[in-house]
Amino acid sequence: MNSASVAATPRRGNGGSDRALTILMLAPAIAYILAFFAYPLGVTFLTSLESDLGLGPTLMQYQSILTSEKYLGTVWLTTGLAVGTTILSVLLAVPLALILRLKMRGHRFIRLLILTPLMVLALISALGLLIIWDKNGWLNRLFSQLVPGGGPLSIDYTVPGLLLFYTWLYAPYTILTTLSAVEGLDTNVEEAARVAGASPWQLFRSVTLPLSWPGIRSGSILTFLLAFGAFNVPIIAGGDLRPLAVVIYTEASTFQHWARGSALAMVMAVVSLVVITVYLRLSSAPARRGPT
Amino acid sequence: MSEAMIELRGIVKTFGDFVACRGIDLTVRRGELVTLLGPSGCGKTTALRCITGGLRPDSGEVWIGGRNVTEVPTHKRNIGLVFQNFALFPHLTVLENVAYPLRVRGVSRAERHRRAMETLTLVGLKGLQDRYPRELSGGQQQRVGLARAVVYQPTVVLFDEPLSNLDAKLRLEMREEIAALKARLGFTAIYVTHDQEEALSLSDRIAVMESGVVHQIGTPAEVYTSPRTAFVAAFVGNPNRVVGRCVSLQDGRATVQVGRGRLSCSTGANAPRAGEATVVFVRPEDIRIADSTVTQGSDALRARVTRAAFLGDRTEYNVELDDQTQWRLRLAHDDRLAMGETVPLAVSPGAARAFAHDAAVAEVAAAIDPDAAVPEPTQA
Amino acid sequence: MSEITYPIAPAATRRVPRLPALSRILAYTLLLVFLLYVVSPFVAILTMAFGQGWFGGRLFPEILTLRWFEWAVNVTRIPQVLGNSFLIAALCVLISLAIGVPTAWAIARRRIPAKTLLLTLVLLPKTIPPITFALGASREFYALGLVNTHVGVAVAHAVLAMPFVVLIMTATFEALDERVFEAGRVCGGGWLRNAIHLALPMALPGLMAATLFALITSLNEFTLTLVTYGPGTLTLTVQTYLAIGDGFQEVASAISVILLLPSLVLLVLIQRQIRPEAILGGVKGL
Repeated sequence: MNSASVAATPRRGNGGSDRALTILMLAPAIAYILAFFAYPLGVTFLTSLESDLGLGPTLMQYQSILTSEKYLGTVWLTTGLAVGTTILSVLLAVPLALILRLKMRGHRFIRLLILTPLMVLALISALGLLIIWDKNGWLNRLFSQLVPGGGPLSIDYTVPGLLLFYTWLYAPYTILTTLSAVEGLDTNVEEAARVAGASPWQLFRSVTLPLSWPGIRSGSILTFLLAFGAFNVPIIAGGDLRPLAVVIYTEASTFQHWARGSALAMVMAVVSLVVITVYLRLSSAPARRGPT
Repeated sequence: MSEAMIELRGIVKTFGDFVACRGIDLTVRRGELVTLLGPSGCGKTTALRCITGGLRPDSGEVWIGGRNVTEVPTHKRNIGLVFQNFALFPHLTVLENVAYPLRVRGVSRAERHRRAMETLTLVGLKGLQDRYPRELSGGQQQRVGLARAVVYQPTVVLFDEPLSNLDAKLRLEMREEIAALKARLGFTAIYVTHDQEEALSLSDRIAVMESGVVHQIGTPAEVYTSPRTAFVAAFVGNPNRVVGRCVSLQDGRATVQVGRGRLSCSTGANAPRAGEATVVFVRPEDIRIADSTVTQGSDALRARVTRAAFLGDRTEYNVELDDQTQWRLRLAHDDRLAMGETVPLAVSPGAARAFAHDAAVAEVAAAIDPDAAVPEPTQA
Repeated sequence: MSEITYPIAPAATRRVPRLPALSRILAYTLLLVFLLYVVSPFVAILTMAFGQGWFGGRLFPEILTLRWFEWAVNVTRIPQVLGNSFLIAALCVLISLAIGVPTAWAIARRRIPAKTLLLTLVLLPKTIPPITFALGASREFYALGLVNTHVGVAVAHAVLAMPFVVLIMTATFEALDERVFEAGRVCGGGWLRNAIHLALPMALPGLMAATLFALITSLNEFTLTLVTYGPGTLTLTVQTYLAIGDGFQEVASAISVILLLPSLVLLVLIQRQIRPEAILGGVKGL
């Protein structure tokens, strides 16, 4: 958004009817969110306060969760998977974006390819990934032929396996915003750095990266959230590894522990909000950071 | 003989079907400021980018400070560049911007900040060092760009139309700044612009370019008063021109029949031969009204006054020659002319410049307007 | 010097330098690895969908067959399920556009105090995993009688789609130049005419991107669908899940191939119109 258009955006004066119109425009969204998001969330919260014994509101669900090694382990697992996925996505997105920016042969095709994980049902991709990476699948056969004596890579139902799948599914969001940020850079500024004597690495670290960081950040937040809340993938490919979403669902529907499930859901919500807030704080606008 | 700091040897660069540079040769000596002057598309920016390393020439060599840098990447060429759109680092403060070249060279923080402040003071920005580029005016930003380009004392400093994004008054101011800075620091420079006034005022020498070729390299005076080709004559300054027929050519002087009058012209390249159609350039300031005792049968040019404009320190007249060609005159106020009056014009011998018509046609069009039609020669 | 033509100089000449050979090889390698990585599951799915007797260590399936497709069509009634999914997705798009576009317009172009707070509120549904409010939603929808209706599922999906719509359309509307509308008014157009003839065409790429994301979100949504669906509103995601759960991977694969085709066609069609990275690109303000 350039300064010219910002100057040209009107801020209409606030006469009475103007304000009414604004409220009218905003009302549907606010009502909607209250009705179908805030309310269910509230219901979840209230449910989480129920006790197994049908007495008044209680925090016993939270108590048992926070003291349970099993549940805490689940929280760590979920968070770890999400953070790992985010890191992998950024590590994939940045070089990819820099390469695509050069518009080498075939770049259009790759750009389309980035969208494909979004267009396919996550379940199916998980299934497909599972098959490819299966003990007897193609990749393992290829691998054992290339590396004689090396045993089959058994990554199904392991953390690395899940990371691989999560990244496949959720990295595109990071890649898209990173690509957009990187391509929006003023090439003159980069040229200025080069002329000033910056080697390619120095250029990347001191100019390209800081200036594209806002774009990288917004996409990676989305990736984190999706990975944190992943459900259908771990159900297929998680095996014994069961992140929060799966645990919540099984508690609630399989075991009918609605209160327990709801409490876990609230814990999940809080954790995700905390992580995001910390992330946003740590990666604040480059203008305020900036080592010299 | 002072050493050559920048050398372009036979630079050729093509983009698809478009030939930007057709073999450019240029030598810039230490301490000189040479301007590449020409209209858009003439190849001046391309040549500059070959010097910075942003472009690889298809053939030819670039030498900077006595070494062949044609294969050397940009960041190792030790040059300075001032951009048209400033290209400051938006995420760094003014001080950090100027200190940046020193930072990438491994200079310590304290030292580079000290030197950056020194340079900032030189360009008159002391006190603004903690601001961000977006908080500065255009002129201030360009000064930061200047400071950043000279702080590490590069071998040469390049200017890529640095004043085009500034308003007219600021342009004049900044021109003075650049000249002062150069006098103070004594760097060697190549300056690219399409503004001839800028070129004339700043340069030690000017290289006038068109369609990928250098037409002439010379001092501002040489380029202005002795243009080598019709293009240079038409592009530098705003001369009058007229088409006539060459009567005789002797010792570089051509006598040209224009309408019922005759002009004694100097020549450059493509001098007209006797009997050949000719294009003649005369600058407004070189035209006087002929002595009124000159009689009808003489060979002075006659023109009819069509318009008078008061310009403060002088009056400018539009006059029409016999063949409807429009000329402009600049006279002092006491040389009053009446509207519709026919006056004889006198041009100092040699002030007019003649070129063979066919050679000049395309060049003149390029200088004025690529789509303009050039008048056909009149029969004497 | 005579025969010189003046072709137009190319607008953008490369500022980004070409890579030296070694880096070029590395770059292509990375692209190739990425390509294989992304494509790998598709290959597996295609093979599974068209093959029989593949599991158990064979390199290639025994025979090629279309029986899974027949199964998908006849037994699991895929066309119907497809219809459900698309109907729900369409409804979701309608709802989220209807609600999201006015909101985005208001945020982009009208004076609102605490704008950041408002944006945060609108984006809230995307900041926590759907499972967290899915349980509550399921109870609420049951009470409202929205379970097992297409509208019900669509309403749930729209909660997740609307933030995308608002984000994309806010960026789009902010980029509209007010001076164009002023010119329109000077030419005599009222607000409606301006909206249709000026605003709409200018905002079209953003609208298309927003629609696309709402569609994708709805088609892909599983968790919320799981808690709000019924036998009459079986969607692809749930159906696929059930099929896999029952052990019918081949059928599930066949189903996904069926879905892949329109997706791919859509992708090829839109790639001329939208630069993929531009879709989320306007979103820098998270």
